[in-house]
Amino acid sequence: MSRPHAALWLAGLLLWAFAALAAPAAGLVLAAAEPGTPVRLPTLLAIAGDSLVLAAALAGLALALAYPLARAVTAPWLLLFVMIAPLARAIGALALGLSPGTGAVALARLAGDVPLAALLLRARLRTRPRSWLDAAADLGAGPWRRFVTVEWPHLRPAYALAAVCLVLLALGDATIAAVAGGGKRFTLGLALREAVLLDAHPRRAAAIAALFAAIAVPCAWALARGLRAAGRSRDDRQPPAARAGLAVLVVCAAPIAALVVPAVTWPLGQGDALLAAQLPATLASAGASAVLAAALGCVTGLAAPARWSPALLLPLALPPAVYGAAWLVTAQQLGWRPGPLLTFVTLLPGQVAIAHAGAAAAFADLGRLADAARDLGAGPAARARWLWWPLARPIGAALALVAFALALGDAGAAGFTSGPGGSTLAVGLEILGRGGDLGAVPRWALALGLVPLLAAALAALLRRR
Amino acid sequence: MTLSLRALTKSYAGRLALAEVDAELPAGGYTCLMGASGSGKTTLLRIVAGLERQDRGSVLLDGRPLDDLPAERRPVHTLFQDYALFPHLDAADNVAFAPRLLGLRGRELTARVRALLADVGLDMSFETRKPAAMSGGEQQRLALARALAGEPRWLLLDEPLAALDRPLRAGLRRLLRDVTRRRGLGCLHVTHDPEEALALADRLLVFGGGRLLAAGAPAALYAAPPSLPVARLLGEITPEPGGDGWLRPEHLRLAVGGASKDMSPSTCPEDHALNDMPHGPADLPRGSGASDRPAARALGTVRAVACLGDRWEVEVDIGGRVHLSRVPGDPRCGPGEPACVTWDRARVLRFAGHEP
Repeated sequence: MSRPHAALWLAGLLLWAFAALAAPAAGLVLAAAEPGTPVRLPTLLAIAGDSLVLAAALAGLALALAYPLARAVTAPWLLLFVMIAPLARAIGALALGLSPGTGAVALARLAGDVPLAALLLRARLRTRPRSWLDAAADLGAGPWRRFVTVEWPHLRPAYALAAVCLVLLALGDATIAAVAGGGKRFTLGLALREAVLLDAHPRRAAAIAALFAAIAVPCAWALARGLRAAGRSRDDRQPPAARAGLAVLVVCAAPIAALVVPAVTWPLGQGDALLAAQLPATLASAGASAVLAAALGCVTGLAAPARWSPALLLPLALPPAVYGAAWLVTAQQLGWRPGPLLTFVTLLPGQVAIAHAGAAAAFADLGRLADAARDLGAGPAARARWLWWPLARPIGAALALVAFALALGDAGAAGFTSGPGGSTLAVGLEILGRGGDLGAVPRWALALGLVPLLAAALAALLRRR
Repeated sequence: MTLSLRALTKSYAGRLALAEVDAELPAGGYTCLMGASGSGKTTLLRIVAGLERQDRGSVLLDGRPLDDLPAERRPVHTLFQDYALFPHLDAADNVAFAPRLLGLRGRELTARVRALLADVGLDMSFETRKPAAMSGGEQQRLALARALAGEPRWLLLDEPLAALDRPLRAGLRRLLRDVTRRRGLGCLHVTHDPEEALALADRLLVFGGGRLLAAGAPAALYAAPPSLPVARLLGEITPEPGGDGWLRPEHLRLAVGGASKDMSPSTCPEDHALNDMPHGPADLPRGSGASDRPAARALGTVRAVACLGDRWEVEVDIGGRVHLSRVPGDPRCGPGEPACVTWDRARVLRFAGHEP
């Protein structure tokens, strides 16, 4: 498909690169360049090593559990679990009776990490070389031999991508570590939060952010490749079902299920009033950014050259805490105050990236339809009206709901940018959660956890209409 | 409207897909573009459609260059290999896509859509069906109706029958020929199937490695290909027994138990494998002095016999080399039996530097 207005697209990419990547990075670098106390590298490396050990262990466990889950549960359900806010999972893990610490952190992380890894594996499983598997079986290879010789080499890129994503998320996590860790687990994300919010040490923050960026860039490239491959698979072959994965799903659902009883047994209190007051602004901000992100994601997913995908997906590979820290330091340099606008600006690139990922996978095969429409005489306006709008509308609505759920539940980035009062619902909830408010916290955490379910129901309703 | 291709050149990442292609395609003619995979034929079609831009050269319609016209403003429509039907539109809306863009509305549009669907053999029950609810053959018919609905001057067909099974392909091939001839439409049809190309084309362009290897009437090219690659692309060939030339398998007659079966068009036109061609076998050019020369013969041993449905294939070992003979009926011989093959020397194809 030829792309007219190449200059316009290039300008768009440059604007994106500046607003989503260069501006926060430049702010952080400039702040780090100012004189101040040096970074204590051994301490930083010790934190990095400690959080890497935990991240690697959890990623390994998640990858092992992801395979049966990927074969047992369809992609929309997996996405539903991925979309559940980490904060809700962390509060849910504590509601199960686990004491704050490694166990609670592990459960809260695995409840989201296993579905995410399963989602990536399932996309890869759709393109599994069935004829090779049949040939191996025909030649006498048993299930294990077939897995080792055919399935494993095919799944290896998805496993590698999932491993990098999970390790990045675990390293950059600040929310789960703060709430479920109870101060006993320290991650690079928490170290970042401490460097920016407590110690005002931009140099240390820049060092941590640089570490994440170094891992995130190849991860974004791999993510773009994986998405393209999944999108090209149009045969809608589902991997063979295996019920064993349903047990894994029960474990992933346990933290949210554990919130149900405490959520209904306590009367409304001061915490509820506090969080309810933050709800309208949070909904408005998350809704506005979700609609904008879905629109941008659909446009770029439909029309942006495939080679731009890594740049567009990079914010997805960076943990929210890195984004939040970079934008807060940049805002301080520019004299901007933390608040809803800064949170909006900080969350938007991640939302656009996830919308772009969804749209790119959904529209990967539509270039031929554009060619057909052009061939039949449809100019840009006619194509937009008769082809793209009807095709993109349901996907765009679903992506907007995903982006909305993500923005609503985010405390990782908003924890930096929302200001000392906690201007978003998730940040307010995290503060109350750490403070030990047993009344409002499970109730609002359950509500936050159910947002993806409501979003999915709404998406299904929209699709039916 | 004559379609002219002038020195078309296109390369992808340093690899030449089309090299200086020149061709003059007469108005209302059915031109087939034949070649192996990767020979540049689809690239040529997409350049004519305006979906790709050539590096050099020009596409002209009645002498008017099309190069600066975007795809949507060119008077050509394409029947895509995978049909590219719009999944969100039902059959009627798919067909109505181009007429709507031309401003057609209401009863006139409905009438045209129905007429086109009927033309391609789809009744009214198909109107409200989405492409996903249609079979491969039905989708192909719908794609043809959609491409015709915009009343193009030229119809471009990109391996439109490739995804269909053999019986369906033959039926749709005939439909294609009827529908396009009735409209006097110029057609440029890309295929790698020689049977399809020979059956449909008035004029055949053979491609290889991005270059135009041969152009001409299909029967003439089949009978007297200018080079070995062209001969091979148009059908199977077998070495001339004891000689340095090549023969079509149907020109190698088999004599088992004294009965000789001649597949050459002049002696056995009703059995000729090319009887599906638009031109009668009588159009096939014969070599000069064919009747003066005695038929050559050689003795060998039958190696294998296979029934191909409408004809039989016999492998004959002569002096350690295997030769293929195709006969219309059961040759009544088996492996290991002696056989005599004869052939008309005028049928031998010779290519410089390409001895078997």
